[in-house]
Amino acid sequence: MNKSVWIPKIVSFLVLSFVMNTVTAPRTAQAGEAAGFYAGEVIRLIVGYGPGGGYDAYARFLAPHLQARTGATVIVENRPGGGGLLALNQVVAARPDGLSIMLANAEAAALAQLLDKEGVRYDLQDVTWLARVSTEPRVLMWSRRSELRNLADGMQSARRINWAASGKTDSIADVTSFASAALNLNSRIIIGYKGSKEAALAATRGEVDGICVSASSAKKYAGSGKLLPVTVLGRERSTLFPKLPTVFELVKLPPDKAWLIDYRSQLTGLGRALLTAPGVPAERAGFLRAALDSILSDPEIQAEARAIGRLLNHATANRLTTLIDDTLTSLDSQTLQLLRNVVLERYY
Amino acid sequence: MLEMFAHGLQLVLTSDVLLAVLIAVPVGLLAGILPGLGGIAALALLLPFIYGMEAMTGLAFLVAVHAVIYTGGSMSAVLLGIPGAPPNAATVADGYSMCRRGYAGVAVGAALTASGVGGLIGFVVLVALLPFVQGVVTLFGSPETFLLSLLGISCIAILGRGAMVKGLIAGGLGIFLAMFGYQRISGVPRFWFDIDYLLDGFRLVPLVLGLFAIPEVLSLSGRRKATRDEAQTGLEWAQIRTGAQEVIKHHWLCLRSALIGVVVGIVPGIGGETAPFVAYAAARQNSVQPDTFGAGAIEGVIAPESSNNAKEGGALVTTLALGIPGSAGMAVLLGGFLLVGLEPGPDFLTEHMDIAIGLAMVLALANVLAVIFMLGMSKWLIRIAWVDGDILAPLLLVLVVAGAYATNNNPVDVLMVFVFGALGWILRELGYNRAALLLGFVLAASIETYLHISLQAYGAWFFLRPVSLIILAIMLLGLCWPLLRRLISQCRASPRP
Amino acid sequence: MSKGELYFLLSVSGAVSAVLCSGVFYFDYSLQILLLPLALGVVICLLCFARISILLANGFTGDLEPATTPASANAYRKHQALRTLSLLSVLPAVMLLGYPLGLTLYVFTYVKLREHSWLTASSCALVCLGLVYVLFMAILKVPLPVKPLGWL
Repeated sequence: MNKSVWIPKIVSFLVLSFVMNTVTAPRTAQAGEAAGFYAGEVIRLIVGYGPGGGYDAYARFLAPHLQARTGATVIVENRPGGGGLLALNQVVAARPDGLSIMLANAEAAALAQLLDKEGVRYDLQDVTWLARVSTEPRVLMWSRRSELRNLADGMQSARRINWAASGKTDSIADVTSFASAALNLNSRIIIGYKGSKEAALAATRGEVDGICVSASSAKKYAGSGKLLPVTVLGRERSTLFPKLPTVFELVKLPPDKAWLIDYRSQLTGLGRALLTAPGVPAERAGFLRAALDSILSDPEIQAEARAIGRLLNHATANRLTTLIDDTLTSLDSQTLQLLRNVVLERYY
Repeated sequence: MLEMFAHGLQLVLTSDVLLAVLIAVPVGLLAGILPGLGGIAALALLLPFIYGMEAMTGLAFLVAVHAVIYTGGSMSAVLLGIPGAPPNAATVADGYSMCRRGYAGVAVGAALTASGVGGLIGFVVLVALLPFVQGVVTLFGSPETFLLSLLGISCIAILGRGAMVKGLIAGGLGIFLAMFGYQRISGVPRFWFDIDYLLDGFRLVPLVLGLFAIPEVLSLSGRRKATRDEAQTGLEWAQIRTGAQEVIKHHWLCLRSALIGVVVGIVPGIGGETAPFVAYAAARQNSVQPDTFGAGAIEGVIAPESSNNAKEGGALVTTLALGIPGSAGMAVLLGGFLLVGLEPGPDFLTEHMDIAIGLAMVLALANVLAVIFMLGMSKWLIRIAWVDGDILAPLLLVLVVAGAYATNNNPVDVLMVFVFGALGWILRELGYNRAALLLGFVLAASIETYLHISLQAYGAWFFLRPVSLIILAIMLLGLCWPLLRRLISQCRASPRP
Repeated sequence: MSKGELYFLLSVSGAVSAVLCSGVFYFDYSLQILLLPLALGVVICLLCFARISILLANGFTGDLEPATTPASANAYRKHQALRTLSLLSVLPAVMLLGYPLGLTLYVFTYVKLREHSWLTASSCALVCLGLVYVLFMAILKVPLPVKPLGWL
């Protein structure tokens, strides 16, 4: 045959086979053996923040363990944007094949949905929850450069108390709003700092009077002596601060105020959680849940996490689902209005 | 303190760490040279590699890669007119002009030497400040950050000298582009038009790639292979040597630019991208021939490159001492610390000062190695500038496209590169200063945010603080310097009674 | 050229004004949110008009009338435009064919169409494949979309 005939034929054949091998035919869900499905597949563990942050650290810690327990290859993928909203929107809208899971800031996502924030395109009640990875109570701290020394000082302060945070629903500012509303504090929250560490630095410098941070962060700041831990914003003491009283031990709050602290604690209970798209086949979701439950409650893995400064507080998908349903549906429109005012307007 | 030095040295002089540094330097240089991978994308992609490494080895690897990215980036800026990383954008104007006029060797020698010297100055300052860093960073609050950002923005006026209105339009446009997306002080996304991508507004990497890489790639495609002149080869080493000597000649410029870099690096609120522009503007203000800037002034290469590398020393101070990343790259480095089980912060220096000093030494070592390595390779690298444009252009576009995707795993970033590419091409053709646009873009958020925070926390007289007043004085002095210098020389020239 | 700058300045002022109007009338932003963009927008528009008046005062050195353009200049411009478009075809290439295949084919086709040899074109395509597949995907593990039309 002529060169000018068979070269193009071979080239077309090679190109065609390359294309056909690259285009994967859609897989049909295998009834029954989810394990068989996951073996050899690739699970994307998506993080809504950039590399190097806390979520990224947790995801990279969990990935090899999940890989071992599912038989799939687990790849961590960073998709920062919108404070985690972008990735969550994408995961919720992805194909419900159980291959895209996300380590989400469930606390912030729930608050964003509750307050109808711009860019929310998900409904956490539809999402397939897998497990909660961690959660921490919040601790109220004063700056040592401020004259405030205890909770009573703050409650009696005539002048305005300044707080630092990065965004209105960043789990620092909104905790502060809830606490201020519950304790009738004369607060002004200054947002715009580039993250929790910069906000804490502002408190350390004395630029603001106080900050509400997670217990593990509070431990570090208290250890260095720059910030003074005042109280735990919840019903139970933190294991990291066994001697630090809770706000309920320090102050007798009327029910409507106590509710604010309780509700925010409930939100805190959502913590960092793993989820996947709505509509994932039940056996695959069940398989992932079982794998994650075994990983997160394994004492050796918990110790491993503690060694790199990460705490695992496991909760099952059922618990998460109940918590979410209750959080999102227990409020009447008046209370919701009040919340919106407290979180988004009152202290700015 | 001396024994900490000894401990730090001990940590560094192990085969593991030295090997890590030896591997990291070419990796960082390559990441810097390849336009699509500049800056944090490369560092972020290398983060998983250190999982499981010994703490010091993994950290040394990351610090070394990060320290030399801008050294590598200066090569693409000079030889191709494409900044390898966003901070290298300030080097493009003069470096690339020199290359086109046949002085590529001089520009390369100057850029590399300035980078190395700047890096070493950064190291010296880093080590000197570490024991006092708490006090130093406490001095720089929100008012100081606002005023420093204002100082940075005022450099737009200096960059635009000679075509002031055009420079201000470019700068203003840059600031306006930064208005899209979340406003930090209210949490409300501005002008997002219900498009998820725009919640965060426009992104830096697609902007830089679009503004600088696309127009140059389009120009490249028309260029045929240059005939290699044998006489030129000998000239190259001579040129490179000349370039290096120029840095020694301009030692005050180098020092000042490095110090600017360190200060900008230390202040967490300002992105590191600003340092080279401020250094460039300061160099221009102080130059006796300011009009040569933009057309091939050697100071226009030395100043930004020196400050680029020095700023990493400054950023490392804040990252190690406070756990606050001074830049996006440092944020990734911080992640590296967490991966190996360490947490930078106030406690870190008390317990691990030797690691901190060891990393500072790694910074210095990496800078020196990078310069030696690149000077050795420079003769061959310069040949890149002669490659046929038809081959170079599509390959560069491949790097740009893949690199743009790699930044955030977002295909829209790739599209935005071309949108900004169109803008960049128009700006270049019409003679508008793209660096001014970039500077405005980078600083806009800081200005709005820290002004608001300062007013809220301190009231209207927030600037009545010692450091703020010093910064204000420097800003006014800097802007008026050419006028003042003229007045002084006129006074001197006028005959005494 | 000056006419081009005139259109550019008008477009910039127009776009800035349109965005600001959306902020005022469509998004209904508060003053705190709109203050800086508004101030900026006003300054930018004023600067644009200042520049336009400078251009008008200096008179146009603008584009020649089409009738007086030499045919060769026209052909050259057409050639330029075609070359630019083919260079920019990288974007549809990756969207339609995925990154590894799209970029490799793009480089091969572009270099070949620019009248280089088969060997040169293949070598360039190989370099491209090496960069994309080996460097980005295998070593750096960037999840570049592989499937054609993967964005759908």
